[in-house]
Amino acid sequence: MSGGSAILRVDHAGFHRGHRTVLHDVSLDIRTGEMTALLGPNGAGKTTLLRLLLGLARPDSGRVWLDGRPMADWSRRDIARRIAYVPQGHVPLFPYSVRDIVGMGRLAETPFAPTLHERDREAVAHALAQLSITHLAARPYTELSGGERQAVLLARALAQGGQVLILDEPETGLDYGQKQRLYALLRRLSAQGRAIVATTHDPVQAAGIFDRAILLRHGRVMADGPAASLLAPPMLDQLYAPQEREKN
Amino acid sequence: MNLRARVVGCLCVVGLLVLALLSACIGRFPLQPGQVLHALLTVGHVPAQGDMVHTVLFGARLPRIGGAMCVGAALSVAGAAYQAVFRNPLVSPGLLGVLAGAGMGAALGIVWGMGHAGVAALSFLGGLAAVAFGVGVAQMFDATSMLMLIFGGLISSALFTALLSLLKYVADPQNQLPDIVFWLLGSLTQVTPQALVVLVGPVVMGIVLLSACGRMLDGLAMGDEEARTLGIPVMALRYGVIGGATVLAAMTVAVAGMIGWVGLVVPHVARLLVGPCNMRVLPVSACVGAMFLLVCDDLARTLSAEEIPVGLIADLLGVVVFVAVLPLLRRGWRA
Repeated sequence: MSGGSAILRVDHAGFHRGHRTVLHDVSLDIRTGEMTALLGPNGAGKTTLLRLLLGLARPDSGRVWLDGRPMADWSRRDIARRIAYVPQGHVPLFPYSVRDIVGMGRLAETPFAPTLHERDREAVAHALAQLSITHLAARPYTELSGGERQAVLLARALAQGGQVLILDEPETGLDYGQKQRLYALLRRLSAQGRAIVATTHDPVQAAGIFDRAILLRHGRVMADGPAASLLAPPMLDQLYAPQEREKN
Repeated sequence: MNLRARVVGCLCVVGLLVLALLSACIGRFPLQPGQVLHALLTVGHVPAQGDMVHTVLFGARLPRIGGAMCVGAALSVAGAAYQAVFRNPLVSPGLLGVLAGAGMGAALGIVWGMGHAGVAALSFLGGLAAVAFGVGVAQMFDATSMLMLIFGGLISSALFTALLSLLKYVADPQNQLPDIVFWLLGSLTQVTPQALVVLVGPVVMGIVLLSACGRMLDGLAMGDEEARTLGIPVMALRYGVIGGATVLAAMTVAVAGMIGWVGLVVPHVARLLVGPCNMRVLPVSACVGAMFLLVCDDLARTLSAEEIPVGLIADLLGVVVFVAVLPLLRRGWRA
């Protein structure tokens, strides 16, 4: 695998929702300069694992570490300076402009500033340019297509900075060309030393793009290794086989 | 800040000053703008005995104008803050029960035979108690759920409205009941220079503090979890803003009784003028709200020989403004 040092570490994490065990004794490292795909059938625990990695939920057992310190010891602001998140596209009620949305990526740096500082404006402009969406800057986010919204959320994450970029099914709503540009950008960011983690429902595509794949089934890590070799028919058949009721 | 926001901001401030000057001129004892300006510029001088201009201006009209501006600004900013926190354009400052609680507190003070200051103090405390009760109910079940917070507010509003009805039922129908009804209709007749001095500082401070949270409130519009990934301390921000907006709204009822619609309508007008970013919406709401209530109070003072409660005028004018701007608003909403 091509990764550098571990920036995020999940150490024997377990998570319960009511009486249901969502994650069982999950351990993994997320490394800088590595692209990691998180795959599994619906209900396998991918979203919960992402929430642990983002510090949005705490494991009921085990620990999550960020940069060598327990996640629980970091403030929300400091986590946001290190980990940027790209959610699945959604639409807020009020018609913020694209520039406003991307500017939200700078909130961790200047939460109380009445306007963006020069450095923040430069980060926003650079992120818009990287995604080739500068021409959309003044458009209301609510009027964009699904693919354009996804690009805006990715631009916001780039403006936010940080060493880790976590994406929740980033290819949803994108056409072929947009997907290719997205993956090319992720590769560039990875080459610059960022840790990329993305959930995906497209193992065939992921095999050619990601360095590493983590396969989750029934809340357990079924396999963790090079994407190209793991994401092949025997393993995929096993991963996506019809799920029998899990005994907890 | 973009050019449009700067222009709108300047126009709002100039418009508010001009409106305040005109408001100072109109009334049963009309004054010329020159007389008003002269009196303002010589404010440090000892007035001549029997100087009616000075007496009318500083004894009655300016405190009332200041009161209208403070109450209008406070209600509008509280409404805008509530709408941002609850991610809902139909929310007004009364959502968590502050108006019902403040009304009940005032009625209790009137039934107990307290003076104006006592009634105002009980009204303020009633508003805070109602919101604390609503938040407490929500926290008993799920402190993080916004839906539970809204349910808590509904329960609190219902409880304090019922208590208010009970107080009206037991109040002396000759003296106390008319006072309660008049209070609930909203009026600025009781704003004295002393009351204005007490009001101005906290209102200005509240507006500045809530405006400083404007960019974080924008982040909150993206949803709680996403806001947290942007570095926003969601619970602290939500309860801090609710606390600040509640204090502002409770103060308005303590000073001027119940004045509806301002907190619902004015933030929408502000969004039409400067877009959805709360860093601009909150201060512009303050200016527009101050102008709106100033116009309402001018109408209340001058439309008939007997003064009309300003709350009634605000309700009627608020409906007209809301209907007028609704088609424009709908274009911006995701509906």
